Amino acid sequence: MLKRYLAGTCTLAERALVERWYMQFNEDSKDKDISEERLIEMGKEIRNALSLQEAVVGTRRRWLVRTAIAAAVFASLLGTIFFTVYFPAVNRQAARVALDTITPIHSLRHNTLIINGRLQIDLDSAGEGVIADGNGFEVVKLGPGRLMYRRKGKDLGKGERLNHMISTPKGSNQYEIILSDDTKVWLGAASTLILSPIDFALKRSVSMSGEAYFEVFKDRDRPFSVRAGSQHIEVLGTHFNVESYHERQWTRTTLLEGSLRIKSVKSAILRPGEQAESDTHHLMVKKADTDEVTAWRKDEYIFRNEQLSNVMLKLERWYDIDVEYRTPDRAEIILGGSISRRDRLEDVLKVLGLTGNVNFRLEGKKVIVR
Amino acid sequence: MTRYNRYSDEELLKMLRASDHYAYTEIYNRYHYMLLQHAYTKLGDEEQAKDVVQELFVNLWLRRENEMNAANLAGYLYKATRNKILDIFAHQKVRENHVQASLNDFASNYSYADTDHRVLEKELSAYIERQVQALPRKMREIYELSRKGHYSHREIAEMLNTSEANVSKQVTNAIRILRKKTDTFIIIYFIYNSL
Repeated sequence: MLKRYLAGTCTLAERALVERWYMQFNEDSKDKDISEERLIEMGKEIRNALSLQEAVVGTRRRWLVRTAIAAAVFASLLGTIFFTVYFPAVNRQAARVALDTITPIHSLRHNTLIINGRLQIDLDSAGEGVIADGNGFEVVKLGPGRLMYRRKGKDLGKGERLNHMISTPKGSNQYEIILSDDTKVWLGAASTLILSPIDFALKRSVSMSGEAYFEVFKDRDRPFSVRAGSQHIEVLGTHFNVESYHERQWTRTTLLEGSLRIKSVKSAILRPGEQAESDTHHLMVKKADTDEVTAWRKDEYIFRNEQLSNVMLKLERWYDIDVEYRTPDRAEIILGGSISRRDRLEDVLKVLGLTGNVNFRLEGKKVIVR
Repeated sequence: MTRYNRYSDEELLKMLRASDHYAYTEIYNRYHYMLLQHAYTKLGDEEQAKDVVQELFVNLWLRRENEMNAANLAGYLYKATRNKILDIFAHQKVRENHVQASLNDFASNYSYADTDHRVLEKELSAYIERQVQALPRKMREIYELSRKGHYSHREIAEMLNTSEANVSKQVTNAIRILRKKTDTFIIIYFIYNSL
């Protein structure tokens, strides 16, 4: 009868009988009880096997926001004012593991397309129009800071596999790339995008380092994937921002629209407004302010509760400078604020230095932090 | 700290269909003790009980987009567990005698002929309710709080989401406005941090 029940071939009466029998089966048995501890233990083991993701909601956030409002209000009353300071060194263990990163070519002075690591095309001085092509695609310069990949002909996927690497130098303005599926990518300064145009037509995947904002064209049949540092990001059609600096172990992906899956040390699914930060050992999902994250697209940099070293990383890329820490723990000072790319570097450093806890000296292209 | 425990089963199911992993986790948190306890009662074997519940949740995720039109999550999970356990019964030689004897015994004394679907559902609900009551207190509370104490979407948005997003937006706006008003173009605020 059991087998017929499972096969769905028994009568209604038999079905009712089996279900009623099942309900009472073993209910009165003496050894049916299991201890609470064992239940918890078993629950944990399954939880681990499923690698479940708990929703993380910052508890410090509200408090921070309140502090920030107080700071902003205070500042508005007095003009330009600064609070003092704090900062015990936060002990972050630097996980030293080789990351799957792309090392940008620091010597580049121009936006450059490098094909198969050999052929270099200077995108700034190249004339508008088709600047490179291959089987089934061509690369078109649309104007200063804009490049487009488009399909040509039908013989996709044949011929030599080409590897295209688009790199922006330090100090570069954002660079827009329109891929052959109408996905748009904006690259920040000192950032790199790598793709194989022939493979891309079949399987939408790219790699990157630095900072990039993606507007992925929706195509349910072909997921779009990005490899960046310790993350593998999979989407169908969404807007998201990725920061993955090779100088840092972390990679941060922030979702603005749609949904997104990240594979890293474990996997996670992001909802709009969430950010996944990972290194080679951890992955943490938290709420993020998308205005802050994408401010760079408007040549602004808004930061809150950020380490000085991360702030300087941005300045290095914007102002084409190198930073040297003479007093190492200064790198871990936490601060917040807002900088526009129109601000002169000297002014930015002056104000940062006004805190009294950190000292900057500008020597040519080098900033010394003490 | 999670706020998903405030969502109703129905809301969680909707979110699960949209591939929300947190909703999935919350469903697990809410139901796994109940299901583990139940599977253990029937199977009398910890490893088997664990495998059944684990497989159930793996399938729940894999099938989140299709199969999940169950209005009653508890009933759905329970039935899926039952089918898995009956399947084990049907395929286990060792246990066969015991199980078969029990079923035969039950059938010979079986008198009521009511096969109505709704009656069976009601009996099932009552059974699940008894199972919940049999849970250790803390585990029962996880389930009952989530069932009785949840708020509507809008309420949650008002309490947490929206207000939080708004506050943070206001700060960003404040910074922008200040930038226009101050001479230096830069505002730096520092945060006292006692951690």
